[in-house]
Amino acid sequence: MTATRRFASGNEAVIDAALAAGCHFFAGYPVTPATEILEAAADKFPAHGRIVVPTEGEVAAIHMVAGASLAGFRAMTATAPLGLSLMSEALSFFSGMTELPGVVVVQQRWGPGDGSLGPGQDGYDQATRGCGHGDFKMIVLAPKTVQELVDLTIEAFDLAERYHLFVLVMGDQLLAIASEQYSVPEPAERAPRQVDFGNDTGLVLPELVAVDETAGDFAALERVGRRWEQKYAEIERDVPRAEHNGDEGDVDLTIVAYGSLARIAEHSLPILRDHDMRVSLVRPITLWPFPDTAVRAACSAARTIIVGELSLGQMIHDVTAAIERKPDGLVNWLGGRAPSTDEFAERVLEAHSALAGGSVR
Amino acid sequence: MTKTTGTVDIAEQLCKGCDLCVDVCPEHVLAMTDRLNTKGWLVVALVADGCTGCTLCADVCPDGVFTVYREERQPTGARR
Amino acid sequence: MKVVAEPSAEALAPHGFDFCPGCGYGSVLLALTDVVASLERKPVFMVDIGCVDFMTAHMPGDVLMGPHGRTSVLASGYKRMRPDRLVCAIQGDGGFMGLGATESLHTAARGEPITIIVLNNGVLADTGGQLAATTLSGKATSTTPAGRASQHGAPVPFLEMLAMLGGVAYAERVAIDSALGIRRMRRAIGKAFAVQGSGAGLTIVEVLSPCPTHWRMDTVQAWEYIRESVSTVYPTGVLVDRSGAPE
Repeated sequence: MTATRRFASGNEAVIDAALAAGCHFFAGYPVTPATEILEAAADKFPAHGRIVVPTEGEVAAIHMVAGASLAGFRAMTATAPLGLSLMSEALSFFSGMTELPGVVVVQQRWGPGDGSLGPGQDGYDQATRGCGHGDFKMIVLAPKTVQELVDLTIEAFDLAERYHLFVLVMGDQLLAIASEQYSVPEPAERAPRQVDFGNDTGLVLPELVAVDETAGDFAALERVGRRWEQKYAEIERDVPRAEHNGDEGDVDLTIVAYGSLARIAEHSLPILRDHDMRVSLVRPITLWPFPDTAVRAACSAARTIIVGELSLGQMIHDVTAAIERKPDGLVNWLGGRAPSTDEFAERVLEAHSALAGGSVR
Repeated sequence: MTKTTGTVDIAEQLCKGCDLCVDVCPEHVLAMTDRLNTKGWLVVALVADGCTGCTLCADVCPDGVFTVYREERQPTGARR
Repeated sequence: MKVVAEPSAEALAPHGFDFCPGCGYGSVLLALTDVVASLERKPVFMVDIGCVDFMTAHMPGDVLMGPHGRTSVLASGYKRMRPDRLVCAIQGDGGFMGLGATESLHTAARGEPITIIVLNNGVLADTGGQLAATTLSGKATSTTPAGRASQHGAPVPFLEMLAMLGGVAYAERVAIDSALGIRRMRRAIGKAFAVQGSGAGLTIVEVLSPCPTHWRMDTVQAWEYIRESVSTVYPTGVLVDRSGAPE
């Protein structure tokens, strides 16, 4: 497969990735900061024989994606956490209950309700807890660069088909609008996957409904639930991924952050070292399943652990569970504001010296 | 005047005693019984001669209870 | 003697229908099964939530049950990728005209070439007979015990609203209120599939269906109620036929 180098925004790059992954169907509704993904699909999909439907809303979009997926085709939509709220019922039905594959790119902006238009990471709990009602999870991938956004979007389609669920690619407003160089494979044709639905065998979907109709007892329904339990356990075993960089061995400080903020944190490491600190950064790439082992290992050699987030503190609870203690501090930014590397370093130093004055560990 | 004759088979297990067939039967040969099927519904029965095999009961039955039979119309000169 | 009417054993398997006595939904299933038997290839079905979901076990083809009210867009997504298949959405009035009204409206506006069969019994029956968008004025429901009054709004003539949109190729309202009405329903469903096959646009059959249980009537009264009350608010007949196909 030949790759092309391009220079464009994260939002435009998503559609290059979708074409390369053989995605055949896009339906979506505009919402800042994901709107340009829909526009790029409208611009590029038809020329490649792919279908794009600008719908009346997020609800219609996600249902159309599910319908296209039911037919065996790779299908996706893109939205913000606001739109993900609207899609959550459908995701419960189609990712959780019907186990259809699909991809949703979620570009986060901060705030509840209409929130702000700036970057946020407060869609974390929503995305990593399945986002809708009932017992289900979706794989959540969190890129930090446009290149990684491209790579993870392509991989999202593979993961979705391997595990029969929806995969969320969680970016944010910075990643959405930042223009960067990236390399992406050429658009690829892809045959639809083999599907049982539509072969006229009297198939009833979802399985839970079919079981309810035929067996009609709770023990039979529980067996479906147990199969899901196994599936999610397999994902928790095989899919977690994190990046760990910085100083080797014992360190004064380990920072835990993901996405764009992790990128800012990474560039703040040299500044922190100038303050005679040994520092490292661990960045979850999968938000669900959370990379417990990698985060625990990275934090095990740290005197101090600080979590950075563009939220009131959501991922920090997963970090707490992973390292089996409360992290020493949270540095966070609200309102749709992200820090410069200098500001990030400054806040971390403040937090660190406040802790050093007390009893850290 | 010749009159077509017919009859019906009633799948009692499917019947819910809704009464629609009794209401539409032009010959008034269907009636509700006081028998219950194993699902607990009262069931209908063919209670008199005179069914013409008109199929109205089958047409209106929402539960597919009726199989309707009709005597083939014979060419002129046939019996009756 | 010769068999002149025989119910579909396939539709009834394994234990018959689970609808209430006198419910029209069984008649719709039997008619649908009949129509599908005459088609070259079975349609695929998407079923909404409501009493319609008791139909899933008996559909004459593969069936997916999806979220409440959005069956039209689910079916549209499938049809976009499989234009070669007949696609049929089955929805109640609560899902199609109430909760999913937005999606229904825009499915019609886009002229998605699918067939939607809407079973209108004027109440939210599955949950116990509450007020629906379609409930007649004055009609008592469990959430309007004194009857639908002005503060509950007027009945929504949704099919008439959709009929104004150019995307609708065929729209007919039929009523399960007589043997003739049931035959007309079967014919309307057949016509809708024929028009869908021609790719002309959205085809809709709205079926006024009796719900004796929640209307608190006996089954014969429920038919009369459709004839004398429901069909005066929601008149039966062909509202749109842009198919150009022969009857």
